[in-house]
Amino acid sequence: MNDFSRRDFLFGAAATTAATIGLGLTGGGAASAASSKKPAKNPSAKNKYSGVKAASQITFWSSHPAKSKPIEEELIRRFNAANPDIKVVLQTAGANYAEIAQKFNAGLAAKSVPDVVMLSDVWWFKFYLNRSITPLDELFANEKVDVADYNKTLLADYQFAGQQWAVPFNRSTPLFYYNKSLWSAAGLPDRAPETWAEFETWTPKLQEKIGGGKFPFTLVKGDSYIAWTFQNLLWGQGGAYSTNDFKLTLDTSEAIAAGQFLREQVSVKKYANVTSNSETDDFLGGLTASVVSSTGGLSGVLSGAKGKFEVGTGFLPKGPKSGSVCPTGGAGLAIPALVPADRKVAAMRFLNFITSPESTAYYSANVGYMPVRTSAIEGATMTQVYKDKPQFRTAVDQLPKTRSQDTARVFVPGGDAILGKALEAMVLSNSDPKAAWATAADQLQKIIETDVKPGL
Amino acid sequence: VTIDATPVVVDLNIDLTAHEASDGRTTDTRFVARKPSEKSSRRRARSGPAGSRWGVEGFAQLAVFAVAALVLIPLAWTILGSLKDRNDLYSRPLKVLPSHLETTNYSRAWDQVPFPTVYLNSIVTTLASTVIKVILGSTTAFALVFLNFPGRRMAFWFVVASLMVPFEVVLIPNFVTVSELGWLDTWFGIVIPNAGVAFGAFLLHQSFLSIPKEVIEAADLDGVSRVRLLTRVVAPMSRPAITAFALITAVTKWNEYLWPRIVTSKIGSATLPLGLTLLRDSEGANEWGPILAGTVLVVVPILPFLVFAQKRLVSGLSGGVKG
Repeated sequence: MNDFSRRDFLFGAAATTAATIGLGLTGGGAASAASSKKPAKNPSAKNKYSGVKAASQITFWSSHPAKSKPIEEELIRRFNAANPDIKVVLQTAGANYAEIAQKFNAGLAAKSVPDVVMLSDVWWFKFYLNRSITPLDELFANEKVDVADYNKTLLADYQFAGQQWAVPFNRSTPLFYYNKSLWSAAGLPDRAPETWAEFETWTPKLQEKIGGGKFPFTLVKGDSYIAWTFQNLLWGQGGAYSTNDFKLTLDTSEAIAAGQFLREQVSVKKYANVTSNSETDDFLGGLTASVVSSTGGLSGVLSGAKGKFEVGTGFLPKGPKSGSVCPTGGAGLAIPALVPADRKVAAMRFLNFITSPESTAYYSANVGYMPVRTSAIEGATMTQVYKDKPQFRTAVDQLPKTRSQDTARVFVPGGDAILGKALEAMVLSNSDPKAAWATAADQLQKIIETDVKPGL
Repeated sequence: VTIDATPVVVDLNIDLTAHEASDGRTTDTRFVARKPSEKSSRRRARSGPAGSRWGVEGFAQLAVFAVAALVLIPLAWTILGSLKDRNDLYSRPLKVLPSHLETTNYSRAWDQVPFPTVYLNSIVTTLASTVIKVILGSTTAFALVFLNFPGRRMAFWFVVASLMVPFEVVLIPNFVTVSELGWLDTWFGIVIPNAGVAFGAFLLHQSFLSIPKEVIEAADLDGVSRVRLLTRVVAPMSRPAITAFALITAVTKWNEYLWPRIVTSKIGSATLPLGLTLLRDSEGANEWGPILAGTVLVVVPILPFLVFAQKRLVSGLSGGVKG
């Protein structure tokens, strides 16, 4: 449990926030925690949004991750039914999180921005650094949002400098997916391995059953993914990309050992390969027995595997060191700072609606992301889902065991891509981890000096 | 950036080269029409004695087959893949032919992407962009080659220098301009910022230079107006270069992804490559059948255009100045 969040180092002054996050990470349900996070200013000061009439139309930029467009459309339809005076226009602003961020960047320059924008774990902070997203606390108060009902960990991911900068929406953790048919053919217990060391005792049996040219395990690749899931191995070795105050720790023996472990999975022990395109496609195609992949794709994986094999999900395997080994991920929804007040009010009404216990349950059940409201997890919809498809439960059960991601990946603009390139060099061209990390550290350090520190 | 249409660009460009090679010419004649005398002297010099000529032709034929295979295999694989179900797509060892024709891939792709809309947007913007670029490119090149005006050389170097500026660099300024003009989500917004003609002007400049001075002087003596000189004399003599330029422009525009992605937000103004991304999934499982079917739907309309353009290209190369 990582009680001492990175944020504490950065704004230790905001004592109330530190308390919030501390509680959040222990997974406690203390309802008072989040509401204590209202602006620290004079409490009697008038909320600047009070009395502002909501605009009649807002636009929402999404990349529809995990093919969620029909689900988003249904949520908008429900919102419009409940709020006929606010029309929500859903726009496809990119094929993935990076494209949305790029388009949003261009839009900021031209002052042409949506009212609600989907920003992923690795992108939102860049827009905080240049102050182009709105702090949401006053909007929460104005719309009487039940902030305390949001999952503390997921909400805390968007807190900085004592303010809330986005609302969790499509939030995920990586899961260990495995092919149950192959597992039982290999005589393995019907569960994910506890540790990577245990998994390595299983891989010869799996290799024998799955056959040549196929693999017991397949690694992800690409921006937004490899540097995300790798935190599992890194933390398991007792390492990290960086400390909470942006000090890089890639030259530590732990980070090098983790890189070495990753490299050897492919080039020495040879039980893993790297996906050519999508690890879930390989998994469904029967080319691999197991993958570590986002819970966001769970719905697609279950429907894709239907009639072919049973899918098991489990927590991420641990490493030799104790402690949390699972990051959270996915995206949240932010409101651009440029947007006029009446549109911000309408946007918050919409955010409150589509992350309501009922909406988030509907979204989670149909896509695979985690419900972002505590009450939704215990609600009737999710209870039924977990009964029918117990795989959906894994991510929620794993949530208390998660850890905030390292700053070098999520708070350094472009950090994810730089770390991802280093990792890809290790698995694709068998580069020495020490050298690959050193190259990455040079690039990251420059960005920290020029882009991050001045904006904090 | 994930663009399913990317391989198409590569394929079609290679295709162009393949046809030229089959005509027995080297790629350096691709853009520049030389005087017949120059051309034949080059050929003579290169061919040498009769014995090695066969060697060269044999090599050329081999190259044609190799390039044709490079073009056709991915295309055939895309078409075959679009007719396979998931089991066939993921079979190990590879299944070349589908075990049954999975035509539902097409209907599923058609259901997920508003093809009529994106087709219309792609056709309009591609045609408009090509016509504008050919007109601006040939008039600019004409002025740079045949008109005497102060600063002509400077103007030429200015054009060449602007070739060095990558489009990504001017992306944001262009976007701001387009936004302020109110052209977001319009055909204007997609076409106009990319209508700059540095590449075309440079290409055609080199081609126009190869036109014999005597031809221009004769036309001048006959009192031919400049517009007629361009349309009746210069353009026909540079037809291969102009056709090649039009072709490159059209294919590039057809496959363009980044700029339309930035400048359009509504699906009603999106082009085909943007529509295709609706079939992709950034997280989770991809349905490759419908994705490949959608890709085929993007490639098919531009193929007849290419065949037509290549005929013009080849006939242009074998035309030129007689005598």
